[in-house]
Amino acid sequence: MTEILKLFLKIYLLILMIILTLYAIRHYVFSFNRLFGKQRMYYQDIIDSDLPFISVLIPMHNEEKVLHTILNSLINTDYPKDKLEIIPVNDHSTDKTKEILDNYASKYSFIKPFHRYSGDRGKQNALNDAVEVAKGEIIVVYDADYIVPKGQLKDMIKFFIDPEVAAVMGRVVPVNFESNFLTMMLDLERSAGYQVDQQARYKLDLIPQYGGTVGAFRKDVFINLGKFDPKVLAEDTELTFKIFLNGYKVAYANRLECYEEAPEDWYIRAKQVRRWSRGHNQVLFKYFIPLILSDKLRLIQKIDGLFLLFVYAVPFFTLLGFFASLILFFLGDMTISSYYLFLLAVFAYNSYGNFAPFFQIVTAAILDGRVYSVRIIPLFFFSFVFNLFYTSLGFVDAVIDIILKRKPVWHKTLRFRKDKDVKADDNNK
Amino acid sequence: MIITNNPFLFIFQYIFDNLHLALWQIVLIFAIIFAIPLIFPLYELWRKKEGKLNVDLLYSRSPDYWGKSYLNLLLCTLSNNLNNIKSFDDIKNIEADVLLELNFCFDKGKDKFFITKDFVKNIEKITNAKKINFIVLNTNNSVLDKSFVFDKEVIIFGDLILNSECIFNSLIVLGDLYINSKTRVLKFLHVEGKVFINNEINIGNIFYASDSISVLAPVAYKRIFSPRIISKEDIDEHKYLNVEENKRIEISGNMKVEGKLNIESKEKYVIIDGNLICNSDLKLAGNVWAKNNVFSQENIFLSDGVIVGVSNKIKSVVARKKVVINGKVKIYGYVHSEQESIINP
Repeated sequence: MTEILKLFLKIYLLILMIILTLYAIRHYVFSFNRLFGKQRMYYQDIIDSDLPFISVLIPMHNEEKVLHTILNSLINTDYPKDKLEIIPVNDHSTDKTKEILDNYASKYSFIKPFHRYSGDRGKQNALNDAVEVAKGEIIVVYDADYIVPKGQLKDMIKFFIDPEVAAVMGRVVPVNFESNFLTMMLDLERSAGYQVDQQARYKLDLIPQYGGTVGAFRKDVFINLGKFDPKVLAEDTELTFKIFLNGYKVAYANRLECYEEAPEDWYIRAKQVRRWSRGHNQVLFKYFIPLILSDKLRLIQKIDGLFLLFVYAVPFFTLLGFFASLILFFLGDMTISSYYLFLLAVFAYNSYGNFAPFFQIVTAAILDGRVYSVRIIPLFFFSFVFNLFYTSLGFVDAVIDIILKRKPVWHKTLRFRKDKDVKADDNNK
Repeated sequence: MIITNNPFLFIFQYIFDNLHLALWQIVLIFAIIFAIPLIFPLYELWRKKEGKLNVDLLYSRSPDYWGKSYLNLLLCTLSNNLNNIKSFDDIKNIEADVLLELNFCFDKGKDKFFITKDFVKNIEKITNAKKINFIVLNTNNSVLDKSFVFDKEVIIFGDLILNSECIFNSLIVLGDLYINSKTRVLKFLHVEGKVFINNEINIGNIFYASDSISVLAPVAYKRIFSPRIISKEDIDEHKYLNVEENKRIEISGNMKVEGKLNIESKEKYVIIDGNLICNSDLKLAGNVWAKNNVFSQENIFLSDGVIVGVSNKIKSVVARKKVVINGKVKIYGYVHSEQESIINP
């Protein structure tokens, strides 16, 4: 019996190491592509005087601290106001969000708040309802803590001249980089994710991801695809796979940069990672088979799609791998000089370190011209362990969701904006 | 005690076997080895030398960005340094021919400005050199019939006629521009009126004309913007609408092609209603009217009768490599290439 267990654990570790190595190769391909590969041209260089009518949706739940900033930035946008409606979606707010939004609406006719106090709370539910009242042929989505650059809407809309493009995704840049170690780390992690990962996937015509904010999608396609699944927390990933499985594409635009507020607290970050993992793994369970069977995707897109689907599941399997190594050790099958644990640790960190491995972070830092902040990379060891644990918890949540058929509850990420920032925004009104 | 056969761990074996360390000493060594890679990161965390990534929140794509920004900087600089300067009309009314050293706005350093009614007539009062290393503000119309090399910006507050070979760093003309001699502009050319190109010109970066550009001589460029860009001679798009239906082919909707796209028509008139997107070379020639944007991940070739865009609207021709225009072509809007391109009328 013990021998069978040992054999099983060894096979498991071997398979895991192969998977982690494949992820490492994937990340190397992306990094080399960004450093040395032929780059594709963006549509945003097009200047077109014909612009479509668009609706900007901003899901909000108790956002009184931050909503001034995004609304003021959208008021200052250069998109023609007669072709624009801004719909802040007040989703069951209990603070002063409703009053502040109504005050804005009384001043600006193109701001049309959508107050939602019935039905289930949650971003996907709020957007599903708000799309019904939106008049734009293109739906743009921003989270409430974002700051929109003046020319971004025009640049974003141009991607829809491509008939294959059903959604566009921009780049998220943390505004509070200097707040603490966590925000610095998240900033570098985001850089690697967008500057290298997303960009390479777009350049290589793979599966760039619609990220749910700083993004836009065609309203008719969205409705035809059945809108967001209310049971899935990662509505953005779900839409990505729906789009690709139906023969459309997601375009990633690195130059559509937008500031967001990164979590400044480890507890909040843990909840965020766990929620993302839970949502992403819900998508994995839903689209794993359809992806393999799809006749709309090329083989290379299917492979990339599988890598993407499993990205939040692999940490759980890696964690099991560590336990498997320990069990083997205590069963006396591994001496301390064995390569199993050593190799697993190396591959895990190399391929899975903090979602973006260290060489991808360095590549992003080179491309962004950052010389000094990249030096904090050794500290990412702590983040790797942290992510490993909370992502695994998210995986377990998703499995329980499937078994118990329970409905997930959306937990909003806490905002950290200081009172003085809010006052500064008020003065700009 | 044998703990490993692994050569990578041999050093640890040596330490355990020979140094006879106490447990606390082993823990200490481990702690030191673990801490060494953290020294630089912790130092970086403490000093925070780099700030957040810069996102320009005021950025708005505009083809006249360079010219407009420079004019705003100029007005700010002059109004800060000279009395009674509030607008460009005030600058035009400056009578003196003076060379002034002024501090730029926004802490952009200081530079010399030659403010004159007639540059060619008055430059000899300042220098006999052909190389001009100060900013020139010509407050009236100007005819340049001597060769000069301008190392700094030149701003003409009226029309400009270039009758002699000149090299400009950047040129801003608030009236019309007539290019009758070989000309080179290293950075940007910004014209608030019409441009008539009768001799070769090479423009390093962006060429903007707010009214129209008429091209009768070769132009090397990367980006050109004007509501009407006419190469060789004007083409009347009404003939596309007036021909018999059997001589007209209308293609509606956006078109995306993975390989090369070649639309050439000599007898029939082709009207393409939607955007044209191509992942390889895209060639339009003859009686082809693309009413919307034309985009390629490689090169674009337009020749012999092609029209892009619609009157009173702005559309774009964008290529990752070159946009080569040969013969009679009309474009309403913007041409953008990443490599040096050419118009050969």
